[in-house]
Amino acid sequence: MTTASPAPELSLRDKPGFSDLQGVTVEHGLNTQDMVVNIGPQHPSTHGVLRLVTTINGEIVKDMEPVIGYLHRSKEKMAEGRSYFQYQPTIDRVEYLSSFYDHYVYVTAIEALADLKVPKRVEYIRMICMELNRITSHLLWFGTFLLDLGATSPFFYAFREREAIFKLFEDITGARMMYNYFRFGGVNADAPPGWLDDVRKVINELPFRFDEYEAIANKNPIVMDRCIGVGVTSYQDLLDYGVTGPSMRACGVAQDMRKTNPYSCYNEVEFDVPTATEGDVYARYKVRMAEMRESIRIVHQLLDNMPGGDSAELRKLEKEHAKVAEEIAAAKKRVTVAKKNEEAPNAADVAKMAEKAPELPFDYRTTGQKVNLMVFKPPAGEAFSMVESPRGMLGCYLVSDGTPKAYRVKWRGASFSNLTILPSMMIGNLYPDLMAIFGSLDIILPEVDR
Amino acid sequence: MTNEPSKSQHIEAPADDNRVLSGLLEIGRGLKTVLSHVGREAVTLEYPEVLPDLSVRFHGRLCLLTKSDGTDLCIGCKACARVCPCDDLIQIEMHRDGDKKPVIDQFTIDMGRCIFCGNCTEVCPVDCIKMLPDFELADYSREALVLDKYDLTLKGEDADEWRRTHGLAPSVT
Amino acid sequence: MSDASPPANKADKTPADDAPEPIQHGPLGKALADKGLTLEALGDDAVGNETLGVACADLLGVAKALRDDGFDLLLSVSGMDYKEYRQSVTHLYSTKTYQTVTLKTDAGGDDTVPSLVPIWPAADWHERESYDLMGIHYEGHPDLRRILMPIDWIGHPLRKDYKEEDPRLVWNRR
Ligand code: SF4
Ligand code: SF4
Repeated sequence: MTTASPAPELSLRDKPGFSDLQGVTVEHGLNTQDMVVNIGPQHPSTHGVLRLVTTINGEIVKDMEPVIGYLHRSKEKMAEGRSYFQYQPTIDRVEYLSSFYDHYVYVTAIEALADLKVPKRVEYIRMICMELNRITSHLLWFGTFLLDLGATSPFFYAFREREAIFKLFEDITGARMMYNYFRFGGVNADAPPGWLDDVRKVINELPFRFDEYEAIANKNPIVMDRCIGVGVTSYQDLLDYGVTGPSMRACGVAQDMRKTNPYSCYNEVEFDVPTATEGDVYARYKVRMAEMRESIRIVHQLLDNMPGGDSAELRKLEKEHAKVAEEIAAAKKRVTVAKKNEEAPNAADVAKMAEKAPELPFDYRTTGQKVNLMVFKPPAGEAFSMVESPRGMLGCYLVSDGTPKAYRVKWRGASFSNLTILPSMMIGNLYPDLMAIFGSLDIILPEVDR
Repeated sequence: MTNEPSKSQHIEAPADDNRVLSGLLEIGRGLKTVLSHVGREAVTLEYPEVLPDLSVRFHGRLCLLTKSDGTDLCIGCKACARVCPCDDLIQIEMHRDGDKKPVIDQFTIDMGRCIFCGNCTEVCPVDCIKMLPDFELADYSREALVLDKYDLTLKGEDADEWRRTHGLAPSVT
Repeated sequence: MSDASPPANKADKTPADDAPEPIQHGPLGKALADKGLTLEALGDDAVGNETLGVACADLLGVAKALRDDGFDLLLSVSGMDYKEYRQSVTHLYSTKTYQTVTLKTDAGGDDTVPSLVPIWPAADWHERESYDLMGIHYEGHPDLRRILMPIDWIGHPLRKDYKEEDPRLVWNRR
């Protein structure tokens, strides 16, 4: 009862229609009848607008068909009518719980196309943002998942911590959720002075909060009864449906793009890929909780090794450089227009001075090359870039024809693939397990529908 | 790159024989955590009375900064309108006077359709269009949300103050 | 978007001479070609993923060979519209070697491409999406229906020549 159907049977499609399913069956001496229950499109537990046409017989789900598209906002078509920079803010709305990741794939695809070099400081800031974003996303999942199971207070605690991280995002990007912060070859603005310390303060606190969450939920008999052994999937199932992310790692496979295809500077930090072997709802819960702790570990390392350190020091350094540059400029001016009763400095000396002028190391900058965002056009070509988002592999396929507008942008949302497995996990399972199983997949509907 | 699977901290299931006892224990532990929150300070704000402490970079209502003497800073280049992701959201009408100086006749922004992305603030060559930490924009009609030049303009001293708090040179002539 | 030809691949461009040399197969393409499969080398994309052009008739054979080589995860199927013809682009990932490979299949005049569902069941929804938005028919797909747009939608919105023709959509007019 607890295993998903082994082969990816396209069950509804084998049958001509619902009417054929409405046979009367006798199970355990009880007369039961197939019944179609329509869940959604507006349902508090689907965290979005998802409709599930479910056929149940007694408590057993016989068939299920997800109906999606209610949130389709034609994000891919929008890209074709807007310049690259103009399109960027709308990406935030594709996946609003972890939109740093969407920006990151989009920006890296363009950087690969246009061959833009990215300074290390930028990569570090991006990585801090992304890892914190992973924590907020998992925190929201934790809160709503337990809310689906009937626990109310974890939801409030998770949101409190999430809010503390959102405050950090607000300080650096100006917005709590719709960041629009990464730029082609850099970031919008450097971290404000003292931001790194603020981050450190928040993440120092977080592990104690996670301990509290785990004290509430880990061994709670209700949580255990509803999670252990429920919604078990095999690794082959997941591959067949293209499911990635924590669900895959809960099957004992350490498939994490951060380790397997290290992008950004992930090969410079130490972290583990949490895995569990059971493949059930509880394993997914464990993996996500452990992932948050790993993210904190990564952020700590990034903060310690941030090239250039806190931006207050960096500004001071910049000011000193500017002063030297001013002196050189003044000296140069005196060479050309020497006053009457003043000796002109030796031109060769000035040239030497200019040569030795200190310069901010490339790695300390917040924009690699200056790009004119108004008329930016990457050369013709295509790029498919991927990251490990909190929900799995997120990809962006970008085709450019050399004009300021993208020829085609295609999003490979992790949730879109992850949702496909739901019917096969549910068929033959208990109807009340639906919300536990669906919740454990961590699907966000705007990313499914785009 | 090594790909060593590392185990997450393994969480033992309590033994089956004393499930009732361990269950009660766990519920008690959960309740203890919940109760420990009772004494903690509230993190929520009583909103209309207490306003949140917003960051200086907050994406809020748009405004047009002016020169220190209160005259228009905007040069009517329409860069902001071109990078805005929404069609026709920023509408600018301008002409040039006798000295070829730009004169802005009309500058309207439909705040009802603005998505507060900040694209416009980033491309402005003279740092004129900027954002205020002001989010209380609700109104009774859509028309009231279309702000014109008068509503948007931040006069001399206020503009200087804005520039000071955002690390720009305060006085612009 | 003035020229109708597909955007040239980055690796195709050799600025020095007008007639670029034929692109050599990458390691993956070579291994497949050695097995007697016909495919066209299209170089690497900007990120470094190998791109292979496969004709409709050879697609299933190549796909099977790729799956046996360890490309067990289908990432996405994207429909492309190059005005004169349409193309189905498949991205595959190997959980063994951690490589990504791109397969490009030009649809003929009737916009038909063989379905990959028998090989990767994950292609199911992705192909439905491509059919819905781009109008590419996947032959052998068990249930090719619209997925994102309403079932009574007229036209395929991601096509370059798409115009909203539905007279019912008056609310959308400004
Ligand atoms: S904030 Fe964004 S949406 Fe609003 S006016 Fe500026 S560019 Fe347009
Ligand atoms: S970009 Fe700045 S200067 Fe140009 S029109 Fe907009 S507000 Fe005026």
